[in-house]
Amino acid sequence: MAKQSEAAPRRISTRTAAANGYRMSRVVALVAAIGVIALAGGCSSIFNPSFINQVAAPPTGTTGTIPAITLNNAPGHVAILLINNTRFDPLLLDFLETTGADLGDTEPIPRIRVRVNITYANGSENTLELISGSEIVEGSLTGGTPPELTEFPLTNFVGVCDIASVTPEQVELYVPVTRTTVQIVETQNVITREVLSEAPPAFVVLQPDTVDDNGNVTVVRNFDIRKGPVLVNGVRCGSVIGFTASGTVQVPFIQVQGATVPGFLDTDTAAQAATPGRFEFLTNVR
Amino acid sequence: MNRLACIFVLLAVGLLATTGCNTSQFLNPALVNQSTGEVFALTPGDRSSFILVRGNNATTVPIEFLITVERQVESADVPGTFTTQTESVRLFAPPNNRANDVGELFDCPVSRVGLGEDLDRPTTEPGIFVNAQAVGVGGLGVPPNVNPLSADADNFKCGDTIIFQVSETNNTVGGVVVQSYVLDSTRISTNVTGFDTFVNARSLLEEQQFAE
Repeated sequence: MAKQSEAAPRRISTRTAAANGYRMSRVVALVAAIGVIALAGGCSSIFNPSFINQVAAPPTGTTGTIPAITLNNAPGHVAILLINNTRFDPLLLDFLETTGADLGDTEPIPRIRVRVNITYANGSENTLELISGSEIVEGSLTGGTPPELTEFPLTNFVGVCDIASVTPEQVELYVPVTRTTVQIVETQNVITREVLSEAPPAFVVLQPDTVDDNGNVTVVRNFDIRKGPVLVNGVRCGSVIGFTASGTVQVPFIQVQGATVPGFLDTDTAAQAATPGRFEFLTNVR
Repeated sequence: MNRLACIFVLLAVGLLATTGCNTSQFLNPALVNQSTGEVFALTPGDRSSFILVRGNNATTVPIEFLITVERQVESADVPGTFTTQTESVRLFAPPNNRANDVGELFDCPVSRVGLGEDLDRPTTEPGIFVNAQAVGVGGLGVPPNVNPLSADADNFKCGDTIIFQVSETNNTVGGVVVQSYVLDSTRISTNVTGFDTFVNARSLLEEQQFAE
Protein backbone atom coordinates (compact mmCIF):
# COMPACT_ATOMS: atom_id res chain seq x y z
CA MET A 1 0.00 0.00 0.00
CA ALA A 2 2.81 2.21 0.97
CA LYS A 3 4.40 1.55 -2.38
CA GLN A 4 1.12 2.29 -4.08
CA SER A 5 0.60 5.42 -2.08
CA GLU A 6 4.11 6.52 -3.02
CA ALA A 7 3.64 5.63 -6.62
CA ALA A 8 0.30 7.36 -6.97
CA PRO A 9 1.52 10.85 -6.13
CA ARG A 10 4.49 10.27 -8.44
CA ARG A 11 2.11 9.58 -11.31
CA ILE A 12 0.03 12.57 -10.42
CA SER A 13 3.22 14.68 -10.32
CA THR A 14 4.23 13.46 -13.79
CA ARG A 15 0.84 14.38 -15.18
CA THR A 16 1.07 17.85 -13.68
CA ALA A 17 4.49 18.42 -15.20
CA ALA A 18 3.26 17.31 -18.61
CA ALA A 19 0.21 19.51 -18.33
CA ASN A 20 2.31 22.43 -17.23
CA GLY A 21 4.75 21.87 -20.14
CA TYR A 22 1.81 21.77 -22.57
CA ARG A 23 0.44 24.98 -21.15
CA MET A 24 3.88 26.58 -21.35
CA SER A 25 4.37 25.57 -24.98
CA ARG A 26 0.94 27.01 -25.79
CA VAL A 27 1.91 30.26 -24.13
CA VAL A 28 5.22 30.36 -25.99
CA ALA A 29 3.44 29.62 -29.28
CA LEU A 30 0.89 32.34 -28.54
CA VAL A 31 3.61 34.87 -27.72
CA ALA A 32 5.54 33.89 -30.85
CA ALA A 33 2.39 34.22 -32.95
CA ILE A 34 1.69 37.65 -31.48
CA GLY A 35 5.31 38.59 -32.15
CA VAL A 36 5.10 37.49 -35.79
CA ILE A 37 1.79 39.30 -36.26
CA ALA A 38 3.23 42.41 -34.62
CA LEU A 39 6.27 42.23 -36.89
CA ALA A 40 4.17 41.74 -39.98
CA GLY A 41 1.72 44.39 -38.91
CA GLY A 42 4.32 47.07 -38.63
CA CYS A 43 4.51 47.13 -34.82
CA SER A 44 8.22 46.50 -34.97
CA SER A 45 8.96 49.58 -32.91
CA ILE A 46 8.27 47.61 -29.74
CA PHE A 47 11.24 45.34 -30.39
CA ASN A 48 14.96 45.99 -30.25
CA PRO A 49 15.80 47.55 -33.64
CA SER A 50 18.96 45.44 -33.93
CA PHE A 51 16.88 42.29 -33.53
CA ILE A 52 14.29 43.53 -36.05
CA ASN A 53 17.05 44.27 -38.52
CA GLN A 54 18.30 40.70 -38.29
CA VAL A 55 14.84 39.31 -38.89
CA ALA A 56 13.41 41.75 -41.40
CA ALA A 57 16.39 42.87 -43.50
CA PRO A 58 15.76 42.16 -47.19
CA PRO A 59 18.06 39.63 -48.84
CA THR A 60 21.10 41.44 -50.13
CA GLY A 61 23.19 39.92 -52.87
CA THR A 62 26.24 41.16 -54.65
CA THR A 63 24.17 42.23 -57.59
CA GLY A 64 20.99 43.62 -56.15
CA THR A 65 18.59 43.98 -53.30
CA ILE A 66 15.09 42.73 -53.92
CA PRO A 67 12.81 42.86 -50.91
CA ALA A 68 10.20 40.17 -50.74
CA ILE A 69 7.49 42.70 -49.92
CA THR A 70 5.51 44.24 -52.74
CA LEU A 71 3.93 47.56 -53.70
CA ASN A 72 0.34 48.16 -54.72
CA ASN A 73 -0.44 47.73 -58.39
CA ALA A 74 -0.20 50.89 -60.45
CA PRO A 75 -3.65 52.17 -61.42
CA GLY A 76 -2.43 52.15 -65.03
CA HIS A 77 0.05 54.21 -66.99
CA VAL A 78 0.10 57.05 -69.49
CA ALA A 79 3.17 57.31 -71.71
CA ILE A 80 4.30 60.62 -73.22
CA LEU A 81 6.79 60.39 -76.09
CA LEU A 82 8.91 62.97 -77.85
CA ILE A 83 9.80 61.89 -81.38
CA ASN A 84 12.50 64.08 -82.87
CA ASN A 85 12.51 63.93 -86.66
CA THR A 86 14.22 67.28 -87.19
CA ARG A 87 17.35 67.56 -89.30
CA PHE A 88 20.16 70.04 -89.94
CA ASP A 89 20.48 71.92 -93.21
CA PRO A 90 23.59 70.48 -94.99
CA LEU A 91 24.96 74.02 -95.39
CA LEU A 92 24.85 74.45 -91.64
CA LEU A 93 26.59 71.10 -91.09
CA ASP A 94 29.32 72.12 -93.54
CA PHE A 95 29.81 75.37 -91.66
CA LEU A 96 29.94 73.54 -88.33
CA GLU A 97 32.60 71.23 -89.69
CA THR A 98 34.77 74.20 -90.70
CA THR A 99 34.62 75.49 -87.11
CA GLY A 100 35.97 72.20 -85.76
CA ALA A 101 32.68 70.85 -84.37
CA ASP A 102 32.75 67.14 -83.61
CA LEU A 103 29.99 65.79 -85.83
CA GLY A 104 30.63 62.16 -84.93
CA ASP A 105 30.16 59.14 -87.16
CA THR A 106 26.39 59.40 -87.57
CA GLU A 107 24.41 62.39 -88.79
CA PRO A 108 23.80 64.70 -85.83
CA ILE A 109 20.22 65.41 -84.83
CA PRO A 110 19.16 68.90 -83.71
CA ARG A 111 18.59 69.19 -79.99
CA ILE A 112 15.07 70.11 -79.00
CA ARG A 113 13.57 70.66 -75.57
CA VAL A 114 9.83 70.55 -74.92
CA ARG A 115 8.50 71.71 -71.56
CA VAL A 116 5.39 69.74 -70.72
CA ASN A 117 2.98 70.34 -67.87
CA ILE A 118 1.05 67.35 -66.59
CA THR A 119 -2.10 67.89 -64.56
CA TYR A 120 -3.60 64.97 -62.66
CA ALA A 121 -7.28 64.47 -61.94
CA ASN A 122 -6.69 65.11 -58.24
CA GLY A 123 -5.13 68.50 -58.99
CA SER A 124 -1.47 67.45 -58.62
CA GLU A 125 0.94 68.78 -61.23
CA ASN A 126 4.36 67.93 -62.57
CA THR A 127 6.43 69.81 -65.13
CA LEU A 128 9.05 68.00 -67.13
CA GLU A 129 11.40 68.76 -69.97
CA LEU A 130 11.54 66.24 -72.76
CA ILE A 131 14.96 66.53 -74.42
CA SER A 132 16.19 64.86 -77.57
CA GLY A 133 19.10 65.38 -79.98
CA SER A 134 22.86 65.52 -80.30
CA GLU A 135 25.34 67.50 -78.25
CA ILE A 136 26.64 69.54 -81.15
CA VAL A 137 27.96 73.10 -81.03
CA GLU A 138 30.36 75.11 -83.16
CA GLY A 139 34.03 74.72 -82.26
CA SER A 140 33.19 72.00 -79.73
CA LEU A 141 36.54 70.30 -80.26
CA THR A 142 38.30 73.30 -78.81
CA GLY A 143 35.61 75.14 -76.91
CA GLY A 144 34.01 72.25 -75.03
CA THR A 145 30.34 71.48 -74.66
CA PRO A 146 28.12 74.09 -73.00
CA PRO A 147 26.28 72.91 -69.89
CA GLU A 148 22.82 73.11 -71.44
CA LEU A 149 23.88 70.45 -73.95
CA THR A 150 25.15 68.07 -71.32
CA GLU A 151 21.72 67.65 -69.72
CA PHE A 152 20.59 64.05 -69.97
CA PRO A 153 18.09 63.41 -72.78
CA LEU A 154 14.55 62.44 -71.80
CA THR A 155 12.64 61.15 -74.78
CA ASN A 156 9.70 59.66 -72.92
CA PHE A 157 7.89 59.82 -69.61
CA VAL A 158 5.53 57.37 -67.97
CA GLY A 159 3.10 58.65 -65.37
CA VAL A 160 0.41 56.81 -63.47
CA CYS A 161 -3.32 57.38 -63.90
CA ASP A 162 -5.37 59.49 -63.64
CA ILE A 163 -3.80 62.20 -65.78
CA ALA A 164 -6.29 64.91 -66.71
CA SER A 165 -4.30 66.92 -69.24
CA VAL A 166 -0.89 67.16 -70.90
CA THR A 167 0.14 70.63 -72.03
CA PRO A 168 3.24 71.32 -74.12
CA GLU A 169 4.15 74.78 -72.84
CA GLN A 170 7.05 75.70 -75.11
CA VAL A 171 9.37 74.15 -77.63
CA GLU A 172 13.01 75.21 -77.75
CA LEU A 173 15.68 74.36 -80.27
CA TYR A 174 19.41 74.62 -79.77
CA VAL A 175 21.02 76.80 -82.44
CA PRO A 176 24.60 75.53 -82.49
CA VAL A 177 26.18 78.56 -84.21
CA THR A 178 26.74 82.23 -83.40
CA ARG A 179 24.32 84.42 -85.33
CA THR A 180 25.73 87.77 -86.37
CA THR A 181 23.56 90.82 -86.91
CA VAL A 182 25.16 93.06 -89.51
CA GLN A 183 24.47 96.72 -90.24
CA ILE A 184 25.35 98.71 -93.32
CA VAL A 185 27.32 101.81 -92.50
CA GLU A 186 27.92 104.66 -94.95
CA THR A 187 30.92 106.83 -94.19
CA GLN A 188 32.00 109.54 -96.67
CA ASN A 189 30.19 107.77 -99.53
CA VAL A 190 31.86 104.45 -98.63
CA ILE A 191 29.46 101.67 -97.69
CA THR A 192 30.75 99.00 -95.33
CA ARG A 193 29.20 96.11 -93.38
CA GLU A 194 29.88 96.07 -89.69
CA VAL A 195 28.97 93.66 -86.92
CA LEU A 196 26.19 95.12 -84.81
CA SER A 197 25.72 92.21 -82.38
CA GLU A 198 26.35 88.51 -81.98
CA ALA A 199 24.01 85.94 -80.46
CA PRO A 200 26.03 82.97 -79.13
CA PRO A 201 24.86 79.34 -79.51
CA ALA A 202 21.81 78.85 -77.29
CA PHE A 203 18.34 77.38 -77.01
CA VAL A 204 15.75 79.60 -78.67
CA VAL A 205 12.00 79.33 -78.24
CA LEU A 206 10.28 78.42 -81.50
CA GLN A 207 7.52 80.89 -82.37
CA PRO A 208 4.26 80.47 -84.26
CA ASP A 209 3.61 82.67 -87.29
CA THR A 210 2.13 86.07 -86.57
CA VAL A 211 -1.36 86.35 -88.03
CA ASP A 212 -3.86 89.16 -88.35
CA ASP A 213 -7.47 89.15 -87.11
CA ASN A 214 -8.56 87.17 -90.15
CA GLY A 215 -5.94 84.47 -89.66
CA ASN A 216 -3.73 85.65 -92.51
CA VAL A 217 -0.02 85.23 -91.90
CA THR A 218 1.72 88.58 -91.53
CA VAL A 219 5.14 87.37 -90.33
CA VAL A 220 6.46 83.90 -91.12
CA ARG A 221 8.21 82.52 -88.08
CA ASN A 222 8.98 78.92 -87.05
CA PHE A 223 5.71 77.04 -87.42
CA ASP A 224 2.18 77.42 -88.76
CA ILE A 225 -0.35 78.16 -86.03
CA ARG A 226 -2.23 75.00 -87.11
CA LYS A 227 0.89 72.86 -86.87
CA GLY A 228 2.05 73.56 -83.34
CA PRO A 229 2.02 71.22 -80.35
CA VAL A 230 -1.43 71.09 -78.80
CA LEU A 231 -2.89 70.46 -75.38
CA VAL A 232 -4.32 66.98 -74.76
CA ASN A 233 -7.30 67.10 -72.44
CA GLY A 234 -9.29 64.32 -70.80
CA VAL A 235 -6.51 61.75 -71.16
CA ARG A 236 -7.85 58.21 -70.78
CA CYS A 237 -5.92 55.84 -68.59
CA GLY A 238 -3.57 53.64 -70.60
CA SER A 239 -3.15 56.14 -73.43
CA VAL A 240 0.03 57.05 -75.26
CA ILE A 241 0.63 60.68 -76.23
CA GLY A 242 3.26 61.40 -78.84
CA PHE A 243 4.70 64.77 -79.85
CA THR A 244 6.47 64.42 -83.18
CA ALA A 245 8.68 67.31 -84.31
CA SER A 246 9.88 67.55 -87.88
CA GLY A 247 11.58 70.24 -89.95
CA THR A 248 15.00 71.56 -90.85
CA VAL A 249 17.29 73.78 -88.82
CA GLN A 250 18.40 76.55 -91.14
CA VAL A 251 20.19 79.83 -90.62
CA PRO A 252 20.86 82.43 -93.31
CA PHE A 253 24.48 83.25 -94.15
CA ILE A 254 25.89 86.70 -94.71
CA GLN A 255 29.23 88.14 -95.78
CA VAL A 256 30.92 90.42 -93.33
CA GLN A 257 34.53 91.54 -93.12
CA GLY A 258 35.63 89.07 -95.76
CA ALA A 259 34.02 86.00 -94.19
CA THR A 260 30.72 84.19 -94.70
CA VAL A 261 29.03 83.60 -91.35
CA PRO A 262 25.55 82.70 -90.10
CA GLY A 263 23.66 85.95 -89.71
CA PHE A 264 21.46 88.61 -91.25
CA LEU A 265 21.15 92.31 -91.85
CA ASP A 266 19.65 94.28 -88.99
CA THR A 267 16.94 95.49 -91.37
CA ASP A 268 16.02 92.00 -92.55
CA THR A 269 13.27 91.30 -90.03
CA ALA A 270 11.86 88.46 -92.14
CA ALA A 271 15.15 86.50 -91.95
CA GLN A 272 15.44 87.14 -88.24
CA ALA A 273 11.87 85.97 -87.61
CA ALA A 274 12.29 82.80 -89.68
CA THR A 275 15.53 81.72 -87.94
CA PRO A 276 16.26 78.91 -86.96
CA GLY A 277 14.04 77.22 -89.55
CA ARG A 278 10.59 75.90 -90.25
CA PHE A 279 8.99 73.11 -88.21
CA GLU A 280 5.84 71.07 -87.73
CA PHE A 281 4.50 69.34 -84.67
CA LEU A 282 2.13 66.44 -84.75
CA THR A 283 0.30 65.42 -81.59
CA ASN A 284 -0.85 61.80 -81.44
CA VAL A 285 -3.08 60.16 -78.87
CA ARG A 286 -3.78 56.45 -78.90
CA MET B 1 -34.40 49.03 -44.18
CA ASN B 2 -35.49 45.94 -46.10
CA ARG B 3 -36.61 48.09 -49.00
CA LEU B 4 -33.24 49.83 -49.10
CA ALA B 5 -31.44 46.49 -49.15
CA CYS B 6 -33.70 45.27 -51.98
CA ILE B 7 -32.97 48.38 -54.03
CA PHE B 8 -29.23 47.93 -53.48
CA VAL B 9 -29.32 44.27 -54.50
CA LEU B 10 -31.41 45.05 -57.58
CA LEU B 11 -29.00 47.81 -58.54
CA ALA B 12 -26.01 45.51 -58.15
CA VAL B 13 -27.71 42.74 -60.17
CA GLY B 14 -28.65 45.26 -62.84
CA LEU B 15 -25.10 46.55 -63.10
CA LEU B 16 -23.68 43.04 -63.30
CA ALA B 17 -26.23 42.06 -65.93
CA THR B 18 -25.43 45.04 -68.14
CA THR B 19 -21.67 44.92 -67.80
CA GLY B 20 -21.13 41.17 -67.79
CA CYS B 21 -19.39 41.17 -64.42
CA ASN B 22 -16.72 43.49 -65.82
CA THR B 23 -16.22 45.80 -62.86
CA SER B 24 -14.06 48.20 -64.82
CA GLN B 25 -17.14 49.28 -66.78
CA PHE B 26 -18.89 50.76 -63.81
CA LEU B 27 -15.97 51.42 -61.48
CA ASN B 28 -13.00 53.65 -62.25
CA PRO B 29 -10.75 51.33 -64.30
CA ALA B 30 -7.70 52.78 -62.56
CA LEU B 31 -9.16 51.72 -59.22
CA VAL B 32 -9.98 48.24 -60.51
CA ASN B 33 -6.48 47.92 -61.92
CA GLN B 34 -4.98 48.64 -58.53
CA SER B 35 -6.75 45.63 -57.06
CA THR B 36 -6.71 43.20 -59.98
CA GLY B 37 -4.09 44.44 -62.47
CA GLU B 38 -6.22 43.13 -65.33
CA VAL B 39 -7.30 46.37 -66.98
CA PHE B 40 -4.02 48.05 -67.95
CA ALA B 41 -0.60 46.54 -68.48
CA LEU B 42 1.60 46.80 -65.39
CA THR B 43 4.74 45.70 -67.20
CA PRO B 44 5.85 46.35 -70.80
CA GLY B 45 6.17 42.61 -71.46
CA ASP B 46 8.21 40.90 -74.13
CA ARG B 47 6.19 42.18 -77.04
CA SER B 48 7.05 45.85 -76.56
CA SER B 49 10.80 45.32 -76.00
CA PHE B 50 10.99 47.93 -73.24
CA ILE B 51 11.78 47.86 -69.59
CA LEU B 52 9.91 50.36 -67.46
CA VAL B 53 11.84 52.00 -64.61
CA ARG B 54 9.73 53.98 -62.17
CA GLY B 55 10.68 56.25 -59.30
CA ASN B 56 8.14 56.43 -56.50
CA ASN B 57 8.42 59.30 -54.04
CA ALA B 58 6.77 58.22 -50.79
CA THR B 59 8.20 61.16 -48.84
CA THR B 60 6.76 64.61 -48.15
CA VAL B 61 9.46 66.51 -50.08
CA PRO B 62 10.27 66.70 -53.81
CA ILE B 63 12.74 64.06 -54.98
CA GLU B 64 14.75 63.90 -58.18
CA PHE B 65 15.72 60.41 -59.37
CA LEU B 66 18.87 59.91 -61.42
CA ILE B 67 18.26 56.60 -63.18
CA THR B 68 21.00 54.91 -65.17
CA VAL B 69 20.90 51.86 -67.39
CA GLU B 70 23.84 50.03 -68.90
CA ARG B 71 23.91 48.13 -72.17
CA GLN B 72 26.57 45.82 -73.54
CA VAL B 73 27.29 46.86 -77.12
CA GLU B 74 29.56 44.95 -79.46
CA SER B 75 32.67 46.93 -80.26
CA ALA B 76 32.96 48.08 -83.87
CA ASP B 77 36.75 48.07 -83.66
CA VAL B 78 37.29 44.65 -82.11
CA PRO B 79 34.53 42.18 -83.13
CA GLY B 80 33.52 39.79 -80.40
CA THR B 81 34.29 42.21 -77.60
CA PHE B 82 31.71 44.32 -75.82
CA THR B 83 31.78 47.81 -74.41
CA THR B 84 29.43 49.23 -71.81
CA GLN B 85 27.15 52.06 -72.89
CA THR B 86 25.30 54.03 -70.25
CA GLU B 87 22.11 56.05 -70.51
CA SER B 88 20.97 58.29 -67.66
CA VAL B 89 17.80 60.29 -67.11
CA ARG B 90 16.69 62.68 -64.43
CA LEU B 91 13.08 62.44 -63.27
CA PHE B 92 11.55 64.95 -60.92
CA ALA B 93 8.85 63.64 -58.57
CA PRO B 94 6.91 66.10 -56.41
CA PRO B 95 5.46 64.64 -53.22
CA ASN B 96 1.84 65.00 -54.34
CA ASN B 97 -0.28 61.93 -54.80
CA ARG B 98 -0.07 60.45 -58.35
CA ALA B 99 2.49 63.04 -59.50
CA ASN B 100 4.92 61.33 -57.13
CA ASP B 101 5.26 58.36 -59.48
CA VAL B 102 7.48 59.00 -62.50
CA GLY B 103 8.87 56.56 -65.03
CA GLU B 104 10.87 56.10 -68.18
CA LEU B 105 10.86 53.42 -70.86
CA PHE B 106 14.25 52.07 -71.91
CA ASP B 107 14.86 50.03 -75.03
CA CYS B 108 15.99 46.47 -74.47
CA PRO B 109 18.48 44.93 -74.04
CA VAL B 110 19.60 46.41 -70.73
CA SER B 111 22.26 44.71 -68.62
CA ARG B 112 22.09 46.75 -65.39
CA VAL B 113 19.73 49.32 -63.86
CA GLY B 114 20.35 51.51 -60.86
CA LEU B 115 20.42 54.96 -59.36
CA GLY B 116 23.32 57.39 -59.83
CA GLU B 117 25.57 57.99 -62.82
CA ASP B 118 28.14 55.39 -61.82
CA LEU B 119 26.42 52.11 -61.03
CA ASP B 120 29.59 50.69 -59.49
CA ARG B 121 29.42 53.22 -56.66
CA PRO B 122 25.92 52.97 -55.14
CA THR B 123 27.17 53.96 -51.69
CA THR B 124 29.03 57.11 -52.73
CA GLU B 125 27.51 58.42 -55.99
CA PRO B 126 24.37 60.58 -55.60
CA GLY B 127 21.38 58.75 -57.03
CA ILE B 128 18.54 60.79 -55.59
CA PHE B 129 18.29 64.49 -54.81
CA VAL B 130 16.22 65.28 -51.74
CA ASN B 131 14.22 68.52 -51.77
CA ALA B 132 15.06 69.25 -55.41
CA GLN B 133 13.41 72.34 -56.90
CA ALA B 134 13.20 71.09 -60.49
CA VAL B 135 15.07 68.81 -62.85
CA GLY B 136 18.78 69.40 -62.31
CA VAL B 137 18.12 72.24 -59.87
CA GLY B 138 18.93 72.05 -56.17
CA GLY B 139 18.45 69.23 -53.75
CA LEU B 140 20.75 67.27 -51.51
CA GLY B 141 22.48 64.51 -53.47
CA VAL B 142 22.18 61.25 -51.56
CA PRO B 143 23.71 57.88 -52.46
CA PRO B 144 20.93 55.33 -52.95
CA ASN B 145 22.68 52.58 -50.97
CA VAL B 146 20.89 50.09 -53.19
CA ASN B 147 22.93 47.87 -55.45
CA PRO B 148 22.12 48.05 -59.16
CA LEU B 149 19.92 45.28 -60.54
CA SER B 150 21.62 42.99 -63.00
CA ALA B 151 20.06 41.02 -65.84
CA ASP B 152 22.95 38.55 -65.72
CA ALA B 153 22.05 37.73 -62.12
CA ASP B 154 18.38 37.27 -63.14
CA ASN B 155 17.29 40.27 -61.08
CA PHE B 156 15.18 41.39 -64.06
CA LYS B 157 14.68 40.78 -67.75
CA CYS B 158 13.35 42.63 -70.77
CA GLY B 159 9.69 43.48 -70.28
CA ASP B 160 9.81 43.86 -66.50
CA THR B 161 8.97 46.91 -64.42
CA ILE B 162 11.54 48.09 -61.91
CA ILE B 163 10.51 50.49 -59.17
CA PHE B 164 12.77 52.53 -56.90
CA GLN B 165 10.80 53.79 -53.94
CA VAL B 166 12.10 56.51 -51.65
CA SER B 167 10.56 56.75 -48.19
CA GLU B 168 11.39 58.70 -45.09
CA THR B 169 13.37 57.23 -42.25
CA ASN B 170 15.52 58.37 -39.39
CA ASN B 171 19.26 58.22 -38.94
CA THR B 172 20.16 58.32 -42.64
CA VAL B 173 21.67 60.95 -44.90
CA GLY B 174 18.83 63.11 -46.20
CA GLY B 175 16.36 61.26 -43.97
CA VAL B 176 15.39 58.86 -46.72
CA VAL B 177 15.83 55.23 -47.64
CA VAL B 178 15.58 53.67 -51.10
CA GLN B 179 14.19 50.22 -51.89
CA SER B 180 14.04 48.48 -55.24
CA TYR B 181 11.20 46.30 -56.50
CA VAL B 182 10.78 44.20 -59.61
CA LEU B 183 7.51 43.29 -61.28
CA ASP B 184 8.15 40.12 -63.23
CA SER B 185 6.38 40.38 -66.58
CA THR B 186 6.09 36.60 -66.93
CA ARG B 187 4.13 36.33 -63.68
CA ILE B 188 1.60 39.01 -64.58
CA SER B 189 -1.27 38.42 -66.96
CA THR B 190 -0.90 40.21 -70.26
CA ASN B 191 -4.57 39.77 -71.13
CA VAL B 192 -5.60 43.30 -70.33
CA THR B 193 -9.02 44.68 -71.14
CA GLY B 194 -7.92 48.32 -71.49
CA PHE B 195 -5.31 50.02 -73.68
CA ASP B 196 -2.01 48.19 -73.91
CA THR B 197 0.10 51.28 -73.20
CA PHE B 198 3.51 49.84 -73.94
CA VAL B 199 2.69 48.03 -77.16
CA ASN B 200 0.97 51.20 -78.36
CA ALA B 201 4.05 53.22 -77.43
CA ARG B 202 6.27 50.87 -79.43
CA SER B 203 4.00 50.97 -82.48
CA LEU B 204 3.78 54.79 -82.32
CA LEU B 205 7.57 55.03 -82.26
CA GLU B 206 7.93 52.63 -85.18
CA GLU B 207 5.36 54.51 -87.24
CA GLN B 208 6.52 58.04 -86.51
CA GLN B 209 10.27 57.88 -86.02
CA PHE B 210 12.61 58.30 -88.97
CA ALA B 211 14.92 55.35 -89.43
CA GLU B 212 18.34 56.21 -87.99
